[in-house]
Parts: sequence; C-alpha cells; structure tokens
Amino acid sequence: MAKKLKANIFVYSANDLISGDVVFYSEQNGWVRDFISAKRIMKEELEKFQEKVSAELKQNNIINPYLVELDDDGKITKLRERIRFKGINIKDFKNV
Amino acid sequence: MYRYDEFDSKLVINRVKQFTKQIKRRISGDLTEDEFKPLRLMNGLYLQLHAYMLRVAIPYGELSSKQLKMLAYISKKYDRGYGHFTTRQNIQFNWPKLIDIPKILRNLAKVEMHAIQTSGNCIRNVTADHLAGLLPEEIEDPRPWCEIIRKWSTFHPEFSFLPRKFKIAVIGCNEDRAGILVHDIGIKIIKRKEIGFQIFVGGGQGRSPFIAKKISDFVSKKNLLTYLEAILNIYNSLGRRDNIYKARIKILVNELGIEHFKKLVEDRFKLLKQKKTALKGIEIDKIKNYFKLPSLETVGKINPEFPKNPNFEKWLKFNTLNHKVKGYKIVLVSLKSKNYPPGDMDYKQMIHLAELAEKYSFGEIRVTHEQNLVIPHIKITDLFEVWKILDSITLATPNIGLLTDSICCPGMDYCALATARSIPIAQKITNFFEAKKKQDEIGPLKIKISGCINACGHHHVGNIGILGLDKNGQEFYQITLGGSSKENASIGKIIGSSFSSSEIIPAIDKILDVYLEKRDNKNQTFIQTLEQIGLKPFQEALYDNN
Ligand code: SF4
Repeated sequence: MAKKLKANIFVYSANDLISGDVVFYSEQNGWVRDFISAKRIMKEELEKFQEKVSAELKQNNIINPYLVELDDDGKITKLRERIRFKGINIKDFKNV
Repeated sequence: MYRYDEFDSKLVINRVKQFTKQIKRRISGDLTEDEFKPLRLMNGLYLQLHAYMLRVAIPYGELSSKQLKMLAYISKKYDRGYGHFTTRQNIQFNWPKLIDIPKILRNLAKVEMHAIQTSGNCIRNVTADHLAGLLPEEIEDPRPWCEIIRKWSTFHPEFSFLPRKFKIAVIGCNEDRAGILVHDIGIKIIKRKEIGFQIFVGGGQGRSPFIAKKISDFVSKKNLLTYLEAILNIYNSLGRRDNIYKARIKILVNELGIEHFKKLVEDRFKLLKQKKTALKGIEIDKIKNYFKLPSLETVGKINPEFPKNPNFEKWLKFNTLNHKVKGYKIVLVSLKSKNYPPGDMDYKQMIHLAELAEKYSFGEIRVTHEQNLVIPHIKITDLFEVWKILDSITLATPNIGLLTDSICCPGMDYCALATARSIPIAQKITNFFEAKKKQDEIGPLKIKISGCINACGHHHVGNIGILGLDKNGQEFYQITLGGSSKENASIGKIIGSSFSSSEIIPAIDKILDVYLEKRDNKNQTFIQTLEQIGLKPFQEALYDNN
C-alpha cells in the first residue's frame, strides 16, 4: 500500500461503523470527526501505524481505514479526499 | 398497481428480521466487516464516499402516494431530508446510519417496499417503460411481465450468485424508453399471430459497452420464464468469475458470438421445456388484474380555456403527453431544476407531490430511468391547477427531453468509485444554456454524464456523452457523440482529447453551434445531423485552434 503513496505526510481516515461518518485517527482520542485533531503521520512512521490500525480494527468500530495524503503544508492533496473531508448536502449544489 | 400477496409480505418481513440480526451481530463484533459486507450489499447497503448509502427498489418505476410519503418520512427522519432517483428506477438515501437501517427497512416494508436485490451479483430491479399502460400504440402493458419476472427471480437460489449483476428491462411499444438494448436482457413485447416477446441479450455499458443482440424473434408468453432461465443457465455456467471486468454476460456473448450463444441457449431451452411447467394463462391474468387503469371517465375531446401564462404554455408543450384515454394527459415532472442535482428531491417536494397525485392522479406516480417522475392520469381540465402546485415546489421546470434534462450519476460528490465530479457539470450546463436561451431552439437532445467509466450516468448512449476522468489529479471530461439508448441504440464515439472542467461548457456550446449551423431543418435531430456530416466538423470546431 505504502509503495503507491507519494506524499511525505498522511492522516488515517475511515468511516464510523455505526453512523457511517467520516472519521480520522487521532493519537489522544482514537477515531474522531475532527480533521484538525488527526494525527499527522510521517512516511517513515507508516508501517507502525498501519499495524496499529489493523490490530485495533475490531475494537475501534470503524470500517475501511486508509491513508489520506497531505502536502508539505498539511493540506489534503486529492480532490476526492477534500470532498470527503468537507462533506456535502443537496443545498451545496444550488447555482454551482 | 401491484399489491403484495401474503408470500411477498412474509418474504420481505423475514428478510428485515434476518438483516436486523446480522446488523446486531456486526455492531456487537460477532461479525467482521469482511463477513458483513456481502450481507449488507445483498440488502442494498453500500459504503460510499461520505457515509452509508441505502438503495431502495422501485419495481418497474411504480410508486404510490403512500410510498412516496414514506420515502419523504425516511429521508427526513433518518437521512438529510432528500433522496436521489437513479437511472435504474431506484431511490438512494445518501446518509443513513447503520443503527437506523432496521427501522428504515421496517418502515419500507409497511408500504410494500424493500432494498432486496438492489446490489450484488443477482437479478436486479426489473425496469420498464415509464409510460407503460398509458399509450394507445402499446401492444401490451410490460408491467405485469416485470412483476412476473420479479416474483420468479427474487431469491431464486440459482441466480443469487451469478458471475456479475444482471439487469433486465421490458417494453411494450416500438419506441424504446427503457433502454432495453443496453441491458443484459432486453424484452420487447411484440405481436405476431399472438402476443409474445422478442429477446435481446448482452447489452450493457461500463468500461466495455455493447448493444444487445437479438437472440430470439419470438418467445411465447407461456415460455418466457423458461427462455430467460435458459439464458441465465448458460451465463451461470460459462460466464467468467475470474475477472470482474469480464464477468458480465455481454462479454460472454461477444466472445462466443451471438450464433454460438444462441445455439447453447436454444438447446438448454428445449431441455428445460420438458422439465418446467409453462406459465399458465390464469396466473398471468391474475397479475395483469393488478395493472388495470383506474376508472377514468371518458370525456371526449376537451379544449379548455387556460389562463394566458407563457410559463404554463411552455410546460404544457414540453412536460405533458397525450394519454390513451381522451380528456387526460400524462404529466412529466422534471427533477432537473437549477436548484438541485439531477434526480434529487427533498422531503417537502415528495410530500407535496404525493398529495398532488392523491388528489389528481389516483395516488399513482412513476419514476423514469431518466431521473424524472410521471404523474400518469391528469384530467386536462386540472392541468393549470396541477402546474401551479408543481411550480410552487420547483417541480415544473419545462425541459423534458431537452438538453438541460440531462442524466447524471452522483459522481465524485458521493460515489467512492468516481474519477471526477458529474453533478457540477450538469448544473453548469443548466445554468449556462438556460441563460443563453438556446435549448428551445435546439429541441430534443440527450446529454448524459458519468463520473467514471462504470457509466451509471449512461454517457455511452448520450447524444452527447460526458465522462469524468482523473488526469494526474485534475478533473477532465471526455466527450462522445452519437450515442443513443432508443430503438436505434448506438454507442457514442469519442471526439478527441478531453477537456478540463473550465473548458467543458464552451466545448459543448461549440458542438451545439455546429449542430445548429449544419442541420437541414429544425426537425433534423442531432443524431441525424451527425450521421449526415460525420464527426469532422465537430472536431474542427473543437480542436482546430489548439
Ligand atoms: S458512473 Fe462511476 S462515479 Fe458515477 S455513480 Fe457509477 S460508479 Fe459512481
């Protein structure tokens, strides 16, 4: 997985099992809805966190965890992930 | 309208109970996600970009006021107040919580609805012409046949694990409004000495689009299910399971060739005919009885004086059709307004529309595969009143069949598989061309937009097709011209290199300018003009200055 990733900084994201909400991995509070609190993971730490997330998958009530790439300023690089982070509603489309 | 029999109700209620237990076991940790995923998919529950998504079947597009009110209730109580009508006569809720799914499914069951077979490698919701039973030229109403196929295929053990998903559509007119030639099986009701069916097989879109080929020129009513079973038997045994991209029946038919495939099916059909009981006339009639027209008063030719109102007149022109019963009109409700994504409807609109249908159309509503709705039986004398109500809830956009009535998939705004956004492109097209007031001059034209090669937005069969691509992290859009899902179905041809999101609208505008300039007269359609002049003038207009 790590091979395909180009960035130097990452956050882990997933969906909450029960609500389906987008969540991010934070070191202090586990999986949270708040992107700001998400743990910034450096490339060299990836393996450690991948193992940790897989090991804790069951008790953490999250699904589909994966790594989101950030640029060196800490911003999400991919449009898909930016849309996912921002969330969306029917009203967001009024007069695009 | 069809009403559940005892068997249908039991089946749906049992399935709700079973899935409720599975959800409980998932939440308690007794089931892992890997174990649970196939179970949730069998119940129409996906995980999308932001959240879970529940897809609810609307069999052959038929919906009652009561059902629409329930969809409104569900969208308000358990979702974010709206739903999305899809290109396969389903509705999707984009934000349900796993914990609420049992309640949602119980509520759906109360109004004879469910999410069964809206996902997975089974026979999906059978679709039909949305004008079924309403037109004088129809040979026979396709809905009873859809219902017969639905009954036969629901939980059919042999067809629950097909190599891939399987889609069937049925029409009863010569004009194809259901896109049967881009379905795994397309069924057309025809009249020879008796009424029966022409069967087409192996159509589909996605990354390898194919137009279905005729496999049988005539199958009798009593043998329809046996013939379908023969096709599915062959597909089940020979369809590829090793490669998801080659698993659809279209690939099998194309690899074997239609003659070889047909021979296998015919041999199988002969065998099955000896073993299987043919459909009995009495059973067919029992189902047909559910689909009788409500008692419409025959009122002769009516030409009421309507108040002078240009918006109403435009709506009358584009959004109504003649009903087979004199004195009535079919009203098409556009879900392609400036305000919402194509196919989306909020709960208030659902409630108002349900009430309108109750008052004026015997509580009947239809859903079209082009992501619009139909109110099937409106008295001509009620038209102005109906328009006023629709207009007050933003459901009277007078654009049915015009270029702003585009089909559009959810794209990257919702879909986990998308490579680009599609909804903003549809919205930009609407805003741009409404402002230019060009669409009336252009006349009927189908623009279809998909956010990835899976083609849920049917871009392959758009007169103008738009496919969203990811080019090094940027959204680009590829244009195809000349596609159609009608009786002369064809796959559009790629016009050239793709356009960025800021270039795509001017590109469409140039294409339309070429069409307007080159067509012989205003009745010559886009496809006819393209056939006459070829791609070159369009390519010159788009690429010559590059
Ligand atoms: S075409 Fe692609 S982006 Fe659009 S709904 Fe289908 S899978 Fe999603």
